[in-house]
Amino acid sequence: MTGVVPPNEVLTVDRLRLDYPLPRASLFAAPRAVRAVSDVSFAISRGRTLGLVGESGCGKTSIAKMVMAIEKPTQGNIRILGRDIHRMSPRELLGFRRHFQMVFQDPYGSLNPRHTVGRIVGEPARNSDAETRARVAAALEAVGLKAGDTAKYPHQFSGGQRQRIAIARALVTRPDLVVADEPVSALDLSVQAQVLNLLRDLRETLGLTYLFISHDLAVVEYLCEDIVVMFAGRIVERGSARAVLTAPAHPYTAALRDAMPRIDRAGTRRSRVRPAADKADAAIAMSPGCPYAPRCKRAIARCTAEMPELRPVAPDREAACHVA
Amino acid sequence: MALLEVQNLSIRLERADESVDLVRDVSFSVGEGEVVGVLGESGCGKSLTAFSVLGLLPQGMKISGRIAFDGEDLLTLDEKALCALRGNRIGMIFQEPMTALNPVKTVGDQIAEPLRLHKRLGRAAARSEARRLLERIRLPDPTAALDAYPHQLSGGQRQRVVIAMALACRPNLLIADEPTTALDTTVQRQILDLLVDLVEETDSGLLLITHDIGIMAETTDRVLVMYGGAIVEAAPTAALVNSPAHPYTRALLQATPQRALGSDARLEPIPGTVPPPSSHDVGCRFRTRCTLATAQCEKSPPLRELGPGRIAACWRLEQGGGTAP
Repeated sequence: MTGVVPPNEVLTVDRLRLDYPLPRASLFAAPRAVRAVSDVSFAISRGRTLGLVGESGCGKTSIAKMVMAIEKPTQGNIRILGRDIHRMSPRELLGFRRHFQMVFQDPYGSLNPRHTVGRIVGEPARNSDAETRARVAAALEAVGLKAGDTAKYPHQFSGGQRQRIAIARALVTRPDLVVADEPVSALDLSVQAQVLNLLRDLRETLGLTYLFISHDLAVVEYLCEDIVVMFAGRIVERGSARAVLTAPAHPYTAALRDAMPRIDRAGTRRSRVRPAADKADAAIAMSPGCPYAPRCKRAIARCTAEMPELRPVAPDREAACHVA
Repeated sequence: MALLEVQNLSIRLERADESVDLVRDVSFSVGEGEVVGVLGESGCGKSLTAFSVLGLLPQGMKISGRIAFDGEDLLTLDEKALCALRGNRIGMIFQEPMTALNPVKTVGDQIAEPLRLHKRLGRAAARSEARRLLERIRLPDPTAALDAYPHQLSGGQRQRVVIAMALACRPNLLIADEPTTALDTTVQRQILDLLVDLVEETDSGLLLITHDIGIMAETTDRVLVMYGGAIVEAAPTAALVNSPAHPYTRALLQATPQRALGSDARLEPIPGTVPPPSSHDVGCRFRTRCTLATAQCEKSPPLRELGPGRIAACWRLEQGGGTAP
């Protein structure tokens, strides 16, 4: 993947690694580090949506931060529209940022309460000329708000409307890539559906490309064509979202899917056999083997000795598992 | 007689210039070994209803009706008598495990506290009981966890400690307000299974407040759907999911991504948002977002019986109500 980036790839993540330094055990000891992301590669073509799933601490938000150039990878590179964003000068990066924007989880914390909606949405454009004002109005209209809302403040809007403001802010620079980190998990069900449909519609009308981070598999299946499942900083499975969630190849993906609350099990509590809990608290292995092995019901001796590599397990599907 | 019987509960916020009804005329019961779910969007009065059972309403709220726990009307009890019930015969699990725990006390001390207070256990006996509880909630290395502080545990572990505290005195009734909202899916599954196992083993009642329809579907026996501070529908869980009667229940189901799993169907969002509480509005609170609303809905519809254990409040039930969506 180090070679030429195919022209329709908006985001290319190549062998990414991120270490967070830990304090030294003593003055003379070597500095320690914890590896948050190991050897992660993926790409998203124009107009497609990739869902990044996994439990808290699996590295998905670290990847979002590196893609947004907030965090610098220890190794590997990230290219947006073919350009390595971590090799740009700060000035160059600032100008290039209009190509990629982010929507955060919390529509309360991510909007400055003392700025007007017009200022919040117009901020990434870094300008306040007539053209920017027209763009702000267009962005607000695209997300279903009124151009006249620019003079209002965030507290005058509901949670769902605030998330629309946050999306409008991401759209104002007419980006190619939008990174969304749990954008609907703080919203009520009825409003969540509004925002999910909005994201779908914007993808159609503006040709947006999304990196969508979520822990909710039903939401990922609704919005994403492709899925990357992470565990302990590594990709354990990837493929088309529907195929992976219908028939997971990796035991961890299967555990995630089986843990999902299901509406079609209504009223089954008294009859349903609840399987013994998987060892969700088992420490993540520091052994040379698969980090999921201590929790895995299908683990064999090889799993604790040898790290499984991502390999094709079906057409258009890869999993990192010795037994898949 | 049911374990918990709530009759005509109303909660009114009284301000200098006006007073607003936050919960209106809510009646329901929770039996032994029964899991009753309360479903609705934020601002529908779910949590207030639960807090009122615990006598934990904020200042300035006036409560009326009857809340009978094991035959005793909680609204007539003084604070001392309520304290003797809370954390003892009525356990509670709150939403945020970080704020529900005391950051400067060890996990063991916090679980031991209700045991020492209500069961008059000595220090050593309370500690060994706390250890047993941590084992019960499947915390890895329970002995080490006894001396841990909350910040040393993960979110899922903290939530399990909150559950262990709620269970310490073997309550007859458990009230859980979004107990798994902040947790990963696999941990959420464990906690829900744990709660249901406990209900089955100890024959206690569980009042489970959630806005997640999947959790509600799998975990509960009966569901109350609340909107604008009132119950708009109540039914056995399978009936509610498979043939919702009230337009609000139907709309919630159609907005659920889980419903669209494996299909290309588009979600149907509910337009607009929950209206703020108002004392002037006398009509059906859902009519501003309802596709079936007519002029009749300017008047508040009464709860009507639709079948065994099924009630709904809507003028238009015959027009498309009571059937599968």
